Amino acid sequence: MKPNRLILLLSLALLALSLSACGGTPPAVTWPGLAADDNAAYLTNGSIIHAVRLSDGAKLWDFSSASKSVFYSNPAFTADGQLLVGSAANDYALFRLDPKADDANRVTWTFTGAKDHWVATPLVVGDIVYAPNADGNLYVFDLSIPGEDKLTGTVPLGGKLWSQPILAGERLIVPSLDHNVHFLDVKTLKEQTSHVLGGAIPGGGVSDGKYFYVGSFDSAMVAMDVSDGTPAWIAPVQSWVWGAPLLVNGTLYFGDLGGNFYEMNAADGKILASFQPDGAILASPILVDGHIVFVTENGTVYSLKPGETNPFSLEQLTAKLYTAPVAAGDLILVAPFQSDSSLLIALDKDGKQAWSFSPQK
Amino acid sequence: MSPWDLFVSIFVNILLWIYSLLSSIPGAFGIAIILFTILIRLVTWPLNGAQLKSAKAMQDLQNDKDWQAIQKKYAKDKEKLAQEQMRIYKEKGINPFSSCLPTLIQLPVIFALYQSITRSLASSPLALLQLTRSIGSFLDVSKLIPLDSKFLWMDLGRPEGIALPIAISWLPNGFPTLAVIVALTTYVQTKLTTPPTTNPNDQSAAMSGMMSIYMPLLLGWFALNFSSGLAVYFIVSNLLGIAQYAMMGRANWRNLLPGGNKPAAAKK
Repeated sequence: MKPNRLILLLSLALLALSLSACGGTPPAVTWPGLAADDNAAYLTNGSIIHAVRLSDGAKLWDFSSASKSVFYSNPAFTADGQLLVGSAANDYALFRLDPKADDANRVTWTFTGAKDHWVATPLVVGDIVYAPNADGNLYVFDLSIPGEDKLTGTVPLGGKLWSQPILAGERLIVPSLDHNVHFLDVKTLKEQTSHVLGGAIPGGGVSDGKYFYVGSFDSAMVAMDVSDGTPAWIAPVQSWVWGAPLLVNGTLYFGDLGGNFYEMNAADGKILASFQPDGAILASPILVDGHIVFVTENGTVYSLKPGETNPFSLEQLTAKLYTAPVAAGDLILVAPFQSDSSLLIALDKDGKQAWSFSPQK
Repeated sequence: MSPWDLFVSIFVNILLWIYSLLSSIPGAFGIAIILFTILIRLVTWPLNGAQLKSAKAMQDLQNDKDWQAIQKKYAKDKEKLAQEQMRIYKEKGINPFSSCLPTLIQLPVIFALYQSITRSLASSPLALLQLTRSIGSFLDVSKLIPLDSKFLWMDLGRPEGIALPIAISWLPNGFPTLAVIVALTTYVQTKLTTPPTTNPNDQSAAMSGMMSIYMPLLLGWFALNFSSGLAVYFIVSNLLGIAQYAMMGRANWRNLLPGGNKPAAAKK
């Protein structure tokens, strides 16, 4: 081959590689997902799911799929204690994993019929699984059906379904990134009504059985009647709301991307208190021993006594915190993103670090 | 923010601004990419004009007496011939590689466009968060997000393919219609702008000849493996390029035929 031809070929190959490196496939890298049962924490972190023993933070097992799956949604637990977790890679696979099995028998069921990424955590009600997919379909499975084909229904709702559905009485409520909140009859899976909000809903909502409370990129929290989807009230806030609110004793607790944290009366949407911690708040708060625990993008874990506006800083990490913390026994689990040292940290209620987990451990 | 991120953010904002004007129309993001491509073509119009001038100069050079003389004189001394050719290029102010320039200049644009498409479509939570933070305040993003990635039969954030009756492992997305069209239109455009040559040892002509083979393959490969939004850009850009050459009367249609890459005089 002539030298100039070789140079040209190499240059073009280099350019092809550059584009691959610059862009690659649509980005699947994002912050990890987290869930815990009585024994272990399960961290979905890219191509690997880590199972970590709660008592000491030791690795129990790792899982990665042969189909090069990418995981970042929070795993869900089935009634028999198995994990359900979907892939955000182009295999579009939803896996059921048995945490007690050996590595060779870890996968107990796989569904590959979806057409897009799994971002949302499935909702498990007994043997029935409601799994929203970014292809706009809600896939319904009955895990009691033997064999691989457990799909009992596919409900096309449209948009990208990124958040976990909520069951409120007879209503199955499915928020969508395309601004819609869908209200389905849980028995027939027929859509009863839908309501369009002013912005995208990436993080889902919460219900007390009568109302569904959800925030959106419209910088508002909305209470919707679960029977017909009618908004009972719409409460403007300072910035876009990402995570689902926490509902405790008639008060909603949530943050926004502008770095504000709110305590809001669920009855009328009145802001009872608001304050600015140290950064944007994407993750949903959790309730731990009567205190509201929430995390900020700047890496701080806060604990707040309901009714007060001066949260206590439990821990300050040199990483970003986007994943919702998880309460596991006496521990608070947080999953730092872009941390140099740890993938998972366990704190006690006073903020003292019980253990940290990194893949090398 | 790095200079490159800033460059891509500019692309994202322009793309989303066009999208915001069309968001009520089905397939608005695809139309936005097409309009954005036209915009880029307009911005690079002077470059293309300069390239056409250069191509014409190369064409005229084939009939230049000095040029023809050195071809004969140094037919057996390639090194000397190359030196003499460079001397004449210099004297006449011709850049022998400028016919490749418009294609090469597109590459940073291709990189930025590819990233701006994937950033705009935000297929993961982190990508969505980054998108919300890279958009100017002049856009009401809360209304725009998420973008509708559907355009005709395509999802613009994914590689395109039309389902085949049987599964083929090396074509996981089906038949790549857009990749084929990208390769064809790139071939046509490159051929139309390639100056004819009489000398098989002319290095610039040889380079142009190679580009007419490798560039369609390369861009076709991009279209096969990357977002179909990028393939839409390639096709529209190629068609506009062909139209521009044709409008200026510089399109060398005979180049499309086998053995057509020779000046008329040489065929007699």
